[in-house]
Amino acid sequence: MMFAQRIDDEIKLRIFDERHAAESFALVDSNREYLREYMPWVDDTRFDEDTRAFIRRSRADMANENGFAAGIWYRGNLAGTIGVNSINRFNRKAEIGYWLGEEFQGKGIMTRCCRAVVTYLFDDQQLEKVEIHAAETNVRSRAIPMRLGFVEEGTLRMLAYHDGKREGLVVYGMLASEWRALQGQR
Amino acid sequence: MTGQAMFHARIDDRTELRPAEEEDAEAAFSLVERDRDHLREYLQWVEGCRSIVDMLALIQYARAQVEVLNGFTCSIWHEGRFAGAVGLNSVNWQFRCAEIGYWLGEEFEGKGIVTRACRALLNHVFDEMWLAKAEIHVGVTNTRSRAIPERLGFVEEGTLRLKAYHNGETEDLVVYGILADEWRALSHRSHE
Repeated sequence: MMFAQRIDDEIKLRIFDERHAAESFALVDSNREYLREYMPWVDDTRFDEDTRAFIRRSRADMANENGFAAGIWYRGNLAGTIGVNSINRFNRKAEIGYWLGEEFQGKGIMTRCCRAVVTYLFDDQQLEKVEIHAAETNVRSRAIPMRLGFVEEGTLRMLAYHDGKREGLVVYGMLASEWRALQGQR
Repeated sequence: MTGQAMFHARIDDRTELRPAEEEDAEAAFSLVERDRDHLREYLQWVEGCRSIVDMLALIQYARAQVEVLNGFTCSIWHEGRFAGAVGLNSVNWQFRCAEIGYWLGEEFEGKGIVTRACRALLNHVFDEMWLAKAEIHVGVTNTRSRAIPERLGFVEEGTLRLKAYHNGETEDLVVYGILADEWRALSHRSHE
């Protein structure tokens, strides 16, 4: 992923840098109630400094080629995050994670971002498989891999967080060959 | 040292599980040498295990996992001979879930050793460590290995494509899971 990448006229991704910490923290802070339902880390993100620590870790992951975290700017405003975790060079697989502020929902932002990141992982990183994991009741999050043509591979019980409890984690997968076939059809 | 590292069990009158130790390296390596062609099919580490020193490094790695509360490994001793290993990998404390893994020399197969070892491990996982869930991950074509969670009453939760090792390539990975309540219900029934 380039340090900044234009997705279309409205969306730009930038690899997170410590200078984005205040802006990113402000977005979490103004969406606290909305985000905490599925993301337990929100309650541990209380100050700018917590977001700065997250960004530092994500940059260390990038240096180790384990993944990256990027901010999503929609018409000039920070709207959310998309990242890649646990890149496995032997299995040639990786996992994409994401979230958006509430006011940015319903505009197709995450679908467009995911499409760009999946293409990058298959074409530039030469991976064989990309997964997206979502909590069973998180309908909005599950809609993204479904819309992009991912295959639902299973529901791992009790491995997702929901409002302080555990629920099933749905695993969606896409293989490089499937992605190329789907892109050919578009 | 934590309670989970001290796991030790006699699983029948001829077989016991003991925490893997560096002194096991020689016996473990000679079993790998003898069964290499059999073991290498589904176990990725076998290819790189070419000497007692390599085996020692694997045992040291397993023992380091204990220190960071990530799991533990037990050697399986059958009639005083090293027969294989069973253990707990990648303990996820956030969700209180861990994965059970095992391997056995070919001549020790078909005696129910791994099934009994897993049963002892599951009692420990749920009663002593208070985990909420255990998983077993198996390559889709590894019929013998898949029989273990199926026999123990695990639920098949999904088939994750291209995530298991098979002869230097990847194949689909079947995830089996059992919850603490399910295990207690099953063990209760088998005692009636």
